[in-house]
Amino acid sequence: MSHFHLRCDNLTVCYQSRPAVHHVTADLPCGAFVGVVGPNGAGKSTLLHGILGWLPWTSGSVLINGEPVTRCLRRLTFLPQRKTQDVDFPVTVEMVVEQGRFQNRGLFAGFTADDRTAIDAAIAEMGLQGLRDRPLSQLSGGQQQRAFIARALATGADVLLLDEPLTGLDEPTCRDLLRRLAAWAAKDRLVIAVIHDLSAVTTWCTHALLLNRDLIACGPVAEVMSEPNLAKTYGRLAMAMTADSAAGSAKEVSA
Amino acid sequence: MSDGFSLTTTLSAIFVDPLHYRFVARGMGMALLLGVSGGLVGCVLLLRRIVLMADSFGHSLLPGIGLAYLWLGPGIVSLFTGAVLAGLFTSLMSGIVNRLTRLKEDAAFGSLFVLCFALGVALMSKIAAPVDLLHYLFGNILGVTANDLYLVLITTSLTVMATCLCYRALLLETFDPAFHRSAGGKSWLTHLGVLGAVVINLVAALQAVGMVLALGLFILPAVTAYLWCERFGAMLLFSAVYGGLLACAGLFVSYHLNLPSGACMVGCLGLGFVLSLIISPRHGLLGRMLSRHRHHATFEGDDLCAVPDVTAPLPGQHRH
Repeated sequence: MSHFHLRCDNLTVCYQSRPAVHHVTADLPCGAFVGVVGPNGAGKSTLLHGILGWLPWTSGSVLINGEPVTRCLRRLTFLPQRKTQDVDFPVTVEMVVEQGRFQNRGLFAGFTADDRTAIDAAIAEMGLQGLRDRPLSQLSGGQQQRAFIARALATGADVLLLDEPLTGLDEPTCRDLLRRLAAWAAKDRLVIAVIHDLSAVTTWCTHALLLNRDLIACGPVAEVMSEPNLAKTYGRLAMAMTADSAAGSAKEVSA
Repeated sequence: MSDGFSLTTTLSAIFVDPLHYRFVARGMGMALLLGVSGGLVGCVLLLRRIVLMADSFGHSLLPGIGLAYLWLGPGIVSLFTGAVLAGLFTSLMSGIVNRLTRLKEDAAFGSLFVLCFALGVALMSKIAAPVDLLHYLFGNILGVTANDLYLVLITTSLTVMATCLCYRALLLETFDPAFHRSAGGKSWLTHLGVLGAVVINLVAALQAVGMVLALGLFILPAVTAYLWCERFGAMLLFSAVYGGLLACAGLFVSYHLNLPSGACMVGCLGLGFVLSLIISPRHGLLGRMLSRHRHHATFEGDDLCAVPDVTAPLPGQHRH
């Protein structure tokens, strides 16, 4: 695995034609497990979508080793919040992970030895060996989540973005998942995850990115997860919310 | 010996004799083909949870059929053209409403399509006898012509081929459209293909079972398969085979008991469904009850309940 780093350079991303994340500049080296932290509505999901190039950049860019990510999208993979997938769908764990290789093989081509290796590695990485042939509907929430992460890993990408991967999971399951993500990232890959649990970020992440519309801080956890920074991140929420509701009621009155 | 002989004669009286009538044989071919493709399309509708949308979609085809009859004259080709154009128009309109207004897709579909249906009913009343409304609503599989059969042969072949060729795209699109898009798949194209398959199969089923019962050919094989299968591919296969066989069985019942064909076909498909609902080992009522007992017995050893072992080494961890 080669060394690389991902750089957000003065990135502004619009959501529904309003800028939702402003002027984010951050350097994320490979090997990092980055926790994205911020209050609801801070633009965390928007930032992830922006990094993936799914939402338009109104300024700045996202670069991997100086190359815009839009030209190397295969290096990135994304796990959305847990609600787009139907877990009652008739698929087994292995069938889910295999989906990660479809983009390499097109519609019909059979899997090559490389594909099989990637699938097996992803299954091992997420500790799903004993569950390969289990229907997805019979798994616990944490195991389902691991299956979806394994699918993302099987794509062969080296940057994994996750939007709130811990939602709805109990404490031991969260720890297990964080440990696996940290181990995967440590092998010269990059994990960027939106995580609400601040203690989980300080325990498991190497880096943190504090966001509230604007970038508050980004860097190694020990340096940026400080009291003043967190106050700045979450303190602004109160102000932003009062401003929003004031704007909202003003709009209602004018309407 | 004589028992065997009488069994053979009984079987032949039930299954072979009716086929000597050409209209029954045609109807049987129609039932088989419609059952197979209906079963395939139904699986996708069921898993995407758009079964009822497809139903109202069917109703919106009526004005297209009426207009086609007025402008292009009777005949299967004009009927088909009219229905496809109506289907395209309404799905486009609902797409626009969905995009530009507050209404969600189901609300847009529902309200637009009932409007179209009203238009269609009014239009049909102005058209002379041959295409009568009752026929559109309930169909008559024993009245189909050779041309109808060719049309269904084409639509079924298209459906089966498309399902086999686009299996992976179909799996991704029904299971997780968001991942399909992120993996660079053409999600919109697959969705459009599914809608297209719905339209052509609805039109094909119109002649045979009518608008109201067509949904039965789609959904009943699919729900039955869903109760038995744990893999998407197996579910498609089960659904297609089940749909084809039980639709034919229904037609035999209809012939011997002199009951309406559409009702018998859907009734047979439904009988198997109700039976599966009870006896399916994993998802049926009996199975659920039994597994509750079993679950109590193996609760301790079940790894579903195990707490993850956080201290176990991870793959490749020792290397560093």
